[in-house]
Amino acid sequence: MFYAPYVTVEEPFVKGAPIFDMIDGNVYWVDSAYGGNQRGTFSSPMTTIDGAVNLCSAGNNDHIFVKAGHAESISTATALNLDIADVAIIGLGNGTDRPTVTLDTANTTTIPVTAANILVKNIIFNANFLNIAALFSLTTAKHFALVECQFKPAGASLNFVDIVDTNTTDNAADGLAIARCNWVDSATGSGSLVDSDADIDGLTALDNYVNLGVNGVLSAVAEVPAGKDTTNINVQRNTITRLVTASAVQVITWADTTTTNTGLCADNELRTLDTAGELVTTAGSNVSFYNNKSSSVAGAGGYLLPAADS
Amino acid sequence: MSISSYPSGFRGGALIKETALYDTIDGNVYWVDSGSGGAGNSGQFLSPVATIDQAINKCTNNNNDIIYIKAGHAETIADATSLVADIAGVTIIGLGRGTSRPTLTFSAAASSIPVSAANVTFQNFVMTANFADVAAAFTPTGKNLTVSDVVFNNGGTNLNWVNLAAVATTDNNADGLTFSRCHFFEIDTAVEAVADIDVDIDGLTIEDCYVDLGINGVLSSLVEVAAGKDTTNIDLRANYVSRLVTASAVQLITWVDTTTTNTGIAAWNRSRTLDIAGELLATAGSNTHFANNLSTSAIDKSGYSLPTADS
Repeated sequence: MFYAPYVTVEEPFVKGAPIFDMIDGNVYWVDSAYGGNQRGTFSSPMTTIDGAVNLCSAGNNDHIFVKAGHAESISTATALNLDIADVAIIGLGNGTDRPTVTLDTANTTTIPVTAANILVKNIIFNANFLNIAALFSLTTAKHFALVECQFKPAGASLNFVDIVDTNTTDNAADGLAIARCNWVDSATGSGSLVDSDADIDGLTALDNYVNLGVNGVLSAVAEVPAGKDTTNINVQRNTITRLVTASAVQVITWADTTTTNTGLCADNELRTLDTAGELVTTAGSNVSFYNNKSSSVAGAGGYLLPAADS
Repeated sequence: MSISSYPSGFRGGALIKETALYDTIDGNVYWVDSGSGGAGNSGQFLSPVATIDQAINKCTNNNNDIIYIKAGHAETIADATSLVADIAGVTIIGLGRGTSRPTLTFSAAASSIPVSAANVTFQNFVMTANFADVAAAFTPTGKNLTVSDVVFNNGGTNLNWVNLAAVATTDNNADGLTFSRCHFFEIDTAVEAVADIDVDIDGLTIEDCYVDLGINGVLSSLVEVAAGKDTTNIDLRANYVSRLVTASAVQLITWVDTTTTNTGIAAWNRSRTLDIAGELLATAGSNTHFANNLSTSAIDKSGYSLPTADS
């Protein structure tokens, strides 16, 4: 029996039910198929997520439900702004019925996140342009959470580079969490789930399925620039495939490890083609490792990486 | 936006858009909001009280009442009497995510929440130590206190927790004490452990917690048990514990003596230390059952099975 630590996924449970279902703020609805007067109610929903976000109040713990089958396109870096704190955006529906948000027109198209405590759940995000630099661009946005979302290309040579790109202000993206998401993209322009450009505390990636094309030796979960700390990192139970043939750093790369890093990387299942020098993270990172299994051989089970302490 | 109120619930169920919904809360519900609440309010959603204690005082023993704390609520705990959980069966649930979760700030070394009633739950809070050496967030003398999804942090340098729960006085009064899915960050060297146990206790549970503490001698991160005290049916599972003790590390739980009757399990824990020679998970000879615990004291090494496997 293994308990699933949900402590940083931003949706604690009580008696088996997520407590965000107990809503103390206002509730607004979104449905692109609606053609009438938009008021944000169930029967008169807004037609865009941004329209609903604009109805919310910061600090009010408002919830936006996006109806199954909803579809909208985002063509600029200003069309959808997640700029109201404490809003939860929850898609309804299963499989291809889930709401779909398609980013197109330019590789600078993005969804800015400029407020704290925003949750996005159960939405499909389509990349419909080559090398869209970042699906989400975080400015001052602590505790941003992506849960049960799918990130995918609309077709060949249409891809996201990174899913979340933080800005350069230290600790502005603390508590960033990505859980139970799926990102499959064979494009060689694919980057990482997180491009972290600043110190960050509490970065969490749990139970994600990530299968990316080879882009140099970029890591699948995060890339961290020189001189930046990642404290209390929590990366567990992800399945990651990236068929790098040499110098693979499969989960996280730090440009230097002279910084103060803490946290754990555990129970991840990793696949590469590097048979000699594969790593889970950059050497010397100070992160604690437990039971990560890596394989670079077809038909062979993963082996413990890094090797066990004694 | 208007909202309908069904103060008596719909105990037989209701059809909403042809979906049967059942009212599963058999007790009363009260609301707390420091922003819009008042001591004289009814405690209803549109008339919340201002403090958790005011809401508790509206509850009824063993009625399975629920108190919802609105997102953004903030409250200061200045002593050990202003918030007292003295009504049995009350569940206190904070709403909101990240920094909008309700925040309780402990502003004196003796600030604490006494829990004198049984079956009380606190869920989804941020609890902040804002004074040097705050002795304990909770002082339970009631059975089955559950604390889940709570972040314990501090207000700055030299403002710190010592313990999260201090259990004293009477054997078995605090049986069933549980910490679940909590975060405990405290680098101060006065920090001791999640639970300071000075009595016999049954069913102490700490699971799925992330604990990163400063070094205080060789104190264990999860539990310290006083001499002559039994811990039966202890359940320590799936915690991450980091404390960079360099020698004689006992990472999860210390018993001052193990001549007592201990039972239970420590499993699926991951721990980090700097002790490369004598590290233990628990005091030797404790009679606890160990399974699948991994420990490391080296950079770039995976945790190894500790203690070594039976055969």
